Amino acid sequence: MQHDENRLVFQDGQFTDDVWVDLPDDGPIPVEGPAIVTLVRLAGDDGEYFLHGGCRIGVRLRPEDRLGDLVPWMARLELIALNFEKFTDGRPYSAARLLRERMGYRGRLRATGEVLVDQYAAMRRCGFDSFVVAKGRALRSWQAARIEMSVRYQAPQESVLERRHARRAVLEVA
Amino acid sequence: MSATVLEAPVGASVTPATYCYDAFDKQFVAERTAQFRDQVERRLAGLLTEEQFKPLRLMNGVYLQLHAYMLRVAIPYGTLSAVQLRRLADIAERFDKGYGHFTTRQNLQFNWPRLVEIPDILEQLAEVEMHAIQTSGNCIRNVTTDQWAGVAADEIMDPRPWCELLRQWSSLHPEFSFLPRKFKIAVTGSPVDRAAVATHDIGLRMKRDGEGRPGFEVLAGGGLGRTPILARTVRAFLPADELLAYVGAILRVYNRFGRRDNKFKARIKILVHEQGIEAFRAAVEAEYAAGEHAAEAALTRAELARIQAHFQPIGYEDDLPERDPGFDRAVFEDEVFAGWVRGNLVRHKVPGYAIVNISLKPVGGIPGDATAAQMRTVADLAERHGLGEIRVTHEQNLVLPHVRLRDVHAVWEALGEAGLATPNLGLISDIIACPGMDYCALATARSIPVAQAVARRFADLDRQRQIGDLKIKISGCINACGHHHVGHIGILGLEKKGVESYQITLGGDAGADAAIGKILGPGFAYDEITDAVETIVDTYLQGRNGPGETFLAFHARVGAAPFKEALYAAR
Ligand code: SF4
Repeated sequence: MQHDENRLVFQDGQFTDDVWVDLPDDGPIPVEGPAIVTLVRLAGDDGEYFLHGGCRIGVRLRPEDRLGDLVPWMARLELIALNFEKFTDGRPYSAARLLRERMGYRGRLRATGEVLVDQYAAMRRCGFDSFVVAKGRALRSWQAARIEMSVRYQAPQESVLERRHARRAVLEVA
Repeated sequence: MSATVLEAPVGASVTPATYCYDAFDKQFVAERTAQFRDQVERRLAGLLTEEQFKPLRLMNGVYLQLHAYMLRVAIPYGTLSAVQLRRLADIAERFDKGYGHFTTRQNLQFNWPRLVEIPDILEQLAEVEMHAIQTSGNCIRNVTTDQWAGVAADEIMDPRPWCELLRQWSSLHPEFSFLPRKFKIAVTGSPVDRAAVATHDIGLRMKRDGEGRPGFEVLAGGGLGRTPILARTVRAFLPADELLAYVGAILRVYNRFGRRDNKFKARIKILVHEQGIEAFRAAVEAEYAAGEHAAEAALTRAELARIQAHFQPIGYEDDLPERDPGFDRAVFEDEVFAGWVRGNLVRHKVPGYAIVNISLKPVGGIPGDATAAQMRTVADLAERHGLGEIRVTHEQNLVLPHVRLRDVHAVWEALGEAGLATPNLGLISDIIACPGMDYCALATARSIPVAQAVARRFADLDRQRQIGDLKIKISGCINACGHHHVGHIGILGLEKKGVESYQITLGGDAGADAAIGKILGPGFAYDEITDAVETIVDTYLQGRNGPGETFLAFHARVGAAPFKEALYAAR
């Protein structure tokens, strides 16, 4: 699959064109990449190549893929794409937190599929830092509105509980 | 009318012993309201499709009903201040048709708001520290508890501080806002479970371990709906400060592995049922063990202490005697008052005080409905005589949780003038009914008119008292919002070949010995169902071993046979 004209990537605060190419399971492997493969291909016959080869690689996961299967390639992966088959499918949120908080993944974590601006904040908080947005209405929405909550009640970001705790600490000193 | 919206409360200003927002909480609700206003504007401008807007409005409690939008306001753990209740009355008048509907989830529904005005309503709510966040949608819903929490004499601990902690933790949780299905948590602080925790996705029963440290028995996988299942125990004892982390582990397992292929199999009860409780428990414990929770437990402890301070009872008059001579005299002299006292008053843990229960089930009325004037009456009474606090029960009634015995008679008189002194608490006419065909788009039958007809049939109070403790619960479709599965007599309205057909279940129980009722036999038509209920009641009255044997006890002893005989033999 070649570079898609109908979508943009939002990351680091701006829209950019996507440099990554989605590789099908049967196409040739580019020498340098950057290429995104499925877990099937990553863990298949080409796995050795991906482990030691020169190309920049990423993997795209389906919600039912087992995260544990990624372990051998963790250090090599520059991008993991989690797909929202529907924006109402909340599984990638848990997967993202597990990748970030349990498996120590530090590369790009990309949201693909039905990625809507109203879920942007939640996705970011769970560890996503790259968002594939379709051009058209969805994109206009992204530009029109991004009201973010400044108050959060839960980890992983600093929560209200921690902020209150910090204030109590101030009181104890004072 | 609008001038009264910001009117100062009458009566002495009292700060009830409930949670008060701090600056963070206030900012959170303000930002959330602004966010929703923006979403509504984008919807009206066509930037959001209805499909995209739907989960957003649901997360803010906005449903599309049969006739109009419906707004469901959260009443966290069923606790309200007088100021808040008065504000709900104002909103009912200004934005609705002058009344509101208290639900089985201790919330309040407005049935007629306009979409463009909902952001304004949310702003009005935010001013009194209320919101509609997560009262619908596939997320963690309003946490419910015992309506007598903090005042019941039989309580281990007041569960509301933990409810408040859960409320905050679950608000806009980034990981758990798109679960396979809705998720309900209930907490009981008393071994007499008035919160029906076994019928919830997670049920929490407060316990103490051998050393007296607080904790919870954690249950999961309960639910009513089309497949009623009682929750199973996941952890027999969880130290209290591990609560958030452990609940998080359950939710993560559910979010990842709960079924998403079929809406009707998406509740956690199906996951627990299909995996089996052992496998489910192992998955939760493995997820929990893999995480690092010490820091969160320490924060929980500190935060809980802060929240608990809000719930410290204030303003009780010290050293009141157990009995009040004026109250005793009124009971002796006024038979009607005595009847109401017997039904609606409950022992308070502080001497000289009583828990006053207000029935929202007048004969012929709509269960759970209250007019703006009635809400104001209750708010005024709470301020004058009840430390400014009101509770909403899952049985769709209201409670004044702290009334001095000496004031009870005056409170009763004022309630009577407002049409709120129906003395039927826990009796056969204290019926739970879902909105059914009158409001709900999913309904297959009417439920409110059935409740009204049954209540009218048994209007005679002496007869109701003779029957004793008997709970009827009615749902207008298989989704079971009227909790019919756990009614002593449950009534489910279905549709058979274009006509309503009412299926009866017997023996359900929402209490500590929770049980799902069993279907009795073929259904009854709309104009037969009241007779059928009466036949069941008469069968019980004729067969029981005296008034000491409750309907449930009688049913447990004799089974369904005599009821079937009486109902179907003649057919
Ligand atoms: S039980 Fe059915 S009819 Fe009644 S409120 Fe629920 S969905 Fe509507």
